[in-house]
Amino acid sequence: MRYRTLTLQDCRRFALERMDGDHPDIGAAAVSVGAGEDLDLKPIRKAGRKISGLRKEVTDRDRIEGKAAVLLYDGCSDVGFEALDDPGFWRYLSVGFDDFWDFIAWREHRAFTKRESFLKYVDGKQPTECVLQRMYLRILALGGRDDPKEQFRDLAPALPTATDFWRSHVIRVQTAASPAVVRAFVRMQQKKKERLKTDDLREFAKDISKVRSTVVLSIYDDDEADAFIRDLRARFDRRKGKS
Amino acid sequence: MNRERRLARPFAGLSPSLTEALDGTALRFGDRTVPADARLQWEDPDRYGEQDIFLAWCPPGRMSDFRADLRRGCSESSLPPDSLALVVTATSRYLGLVDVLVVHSLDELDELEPEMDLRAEKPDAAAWRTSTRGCRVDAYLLLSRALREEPLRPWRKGVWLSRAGFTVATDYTESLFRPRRLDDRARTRFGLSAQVMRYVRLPDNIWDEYEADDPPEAYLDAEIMDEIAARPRALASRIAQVELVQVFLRSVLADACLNREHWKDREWPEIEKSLLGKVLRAICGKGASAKECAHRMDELAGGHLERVVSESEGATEIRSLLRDALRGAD
Repeated sequence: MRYRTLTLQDCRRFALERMDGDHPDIGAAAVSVGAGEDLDLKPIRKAGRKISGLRKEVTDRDRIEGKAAVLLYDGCSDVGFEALDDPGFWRYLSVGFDDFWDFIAWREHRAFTKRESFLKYVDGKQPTECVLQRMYLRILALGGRDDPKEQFRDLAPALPTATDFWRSHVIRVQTAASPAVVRAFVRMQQKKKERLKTDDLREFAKDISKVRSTVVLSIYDDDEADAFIRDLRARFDRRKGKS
Repeated sequence: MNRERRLARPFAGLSPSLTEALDGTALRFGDRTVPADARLQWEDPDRYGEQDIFLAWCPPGRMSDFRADLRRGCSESSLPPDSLALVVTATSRYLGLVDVLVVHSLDELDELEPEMDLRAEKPDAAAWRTSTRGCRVDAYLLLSRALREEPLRPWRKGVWLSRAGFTVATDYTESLFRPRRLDDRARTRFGLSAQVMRYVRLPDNIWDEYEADDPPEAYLDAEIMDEIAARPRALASRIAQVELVQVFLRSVLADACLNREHWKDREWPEIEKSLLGKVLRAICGKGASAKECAHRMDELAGGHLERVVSESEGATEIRSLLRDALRGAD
């Protein structure tokens, strides 16, 4: 598979041009990587159009990011890991497609409005920050199509105002490598009575991380992961004097 | 055993036959083999996806001992063999995609092969295709089912008793450049004639902070690269690689000299983290002081390119390699 990439420098150049209101043609700067047939970008373009349309919905931008993540994942279903693992590919999508650029600018509107620290959302240097990559990672953290029930479709946009949940407690930490545990974690947060607020959530996420340093959670199935989260939560509540 | 492992694992009564079970494992990636907890730098990302990947549980000829140690360890640690498993995972280094490749229960030790063909275990694992950064392979001896909870005893499913990790890196975050194959496609892309053997692609700016995500690339003729891969230890292979480094160093120095108006008024600390800074540091040697590096930088800023280029030969082992080659030719 041959796919197109952008270098970091070109990405920055085009991003700055876009910030000035231009619509740069990145075709000449794009570098083709790999061998064989060219990657068909039509499904990704189509996903981009749908994602762009989501901006009109409501104000919970993280929830919209969750919905967009599902669309992006579906749009990238024919993209090989060679490309997905290449930051240059994500730069190409982020800066080269109006729909994606507009969505990223909307999602991170504070940084884009102030014109400060916005490059990290498009330059692919940190997959946990780059908006398209972190959307894709959200779905992978939920198991993607490796989960026969494809629970990611419901779980990715399931939590209200969950920017911190996804970014700080799932994607930035290795918990993302244990999809069944992530699904169980989301299910816990879905229940109003069990949902932890900011400080408690941070502490509970740390509890998961502590266990993860000595336990290979990737081998858990959904039942085991649910039991694990329940057990950890019971210990957490006891420590907090809640039960 | 590293220090972190001891601190993080407050278990008592576990036999070293279990906790040190994987210390003798080795990973074979293509024609290279590395021991546990080692990093393998793979120079040819284009062929990353074609390599055989084998995990050996123990040194050759020691499989019977390996099995016997594990059985003894179970007995000494009062852990039933069917509660333990050998597990191997592969993780892509950039996106962190994890695949579980192997789960082999310890009550089926007789069926365990001395070497596992990891690619065959899961041909579609993400880690085998992520040539941009490479992968990490981890082998664990772990609890495969939960046991009754007891203080200072492993009980949770998945808790590991022994671990061995291997990193296969294709990125050059710690190196100066990424070697690439100069084939017809690359020659066309750069507008080079068929006779060109080496080509260096530098970022536009080599004097500001170095961007590890967009490394410079040094291209070497694809046929020669194949020969090097086939005979990595041959003297000619080593000379060809060192010469590529030389060409790269000269290219950076020439570029820096041509563009010295951009950086000549800077102090060494402002240059240190740039590609130019890394090259000057390499030329001066690892133990060089900031003053020595600053002196070399000033020479270049003053336009004394030839002198700095000549000094750059000291950064590689080209002299001793050529000497050995000439002696061997007699």
